[in-house]
Amino acid sequence: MSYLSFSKRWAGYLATKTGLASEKEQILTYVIEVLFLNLANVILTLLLGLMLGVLPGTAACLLTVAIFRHTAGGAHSSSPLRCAMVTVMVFPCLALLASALAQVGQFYSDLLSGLAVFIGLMAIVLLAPVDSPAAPIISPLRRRRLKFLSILAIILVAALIAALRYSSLDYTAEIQLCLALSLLWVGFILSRPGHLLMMFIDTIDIPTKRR
Amino acid sequence: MKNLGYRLFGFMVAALLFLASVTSASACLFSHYQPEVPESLRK
Repeated sequence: MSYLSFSKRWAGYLATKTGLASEKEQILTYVIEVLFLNLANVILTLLLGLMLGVLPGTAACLLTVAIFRHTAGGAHSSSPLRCAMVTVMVFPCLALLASALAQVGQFYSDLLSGLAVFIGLMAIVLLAPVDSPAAPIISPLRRRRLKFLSILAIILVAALIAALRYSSLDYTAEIQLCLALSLLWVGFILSRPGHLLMMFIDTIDIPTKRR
Repeated sequence: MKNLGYRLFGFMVAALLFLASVTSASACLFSHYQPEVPESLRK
């Protein structure tokens, strides 16, 4: 199994200190990598959102997509660096787009929200959960449970969009559109074009050392 | 002091192993990169 060197090192240190078996050390390596990468991605994404002046929208997009990544899965990149690029850029961009679209008018916001809920629901009913070779879903029971949770999540988000529609608090029009655009992103990342985009991103050559 | 350090590491390892079991129940976590799930956590 290939993990990043820092997670192997930290897991090795903890395993030595506590006399852990090698199987448990591998689990530690996995969880350290998962925690570190996700935390780094969240912090960098929120920082970019803050710099662009769309922090609440970025946080709303992050939270919405995180719920669906947990239950519905989706396409993945094969490299942590490329993944960070996608994650850090996509959510502030969705928030910026929502901020611009919020100026267009309530009718179009409602239209887009309705469309997003429909597309998100269809994608989840037809495709979720989408696993990856690195984390396969083996049990049919677990598959059914994740699908049920995904459908429950989309009902919850749809209800939240409807509640925001009639709320008069600050940022509600933007947040409503952030949730709608996040649902469209979820639908996209579950679908074949989303997988093709990730495959394309994996082909981008990133120079790591100066020549 | 040495005993306290050992307990602290033990607690940290137990918390991390619990988190690993929790995270492996998800389809994936938040980001667009999925580290390989160890065989013993696959279900």
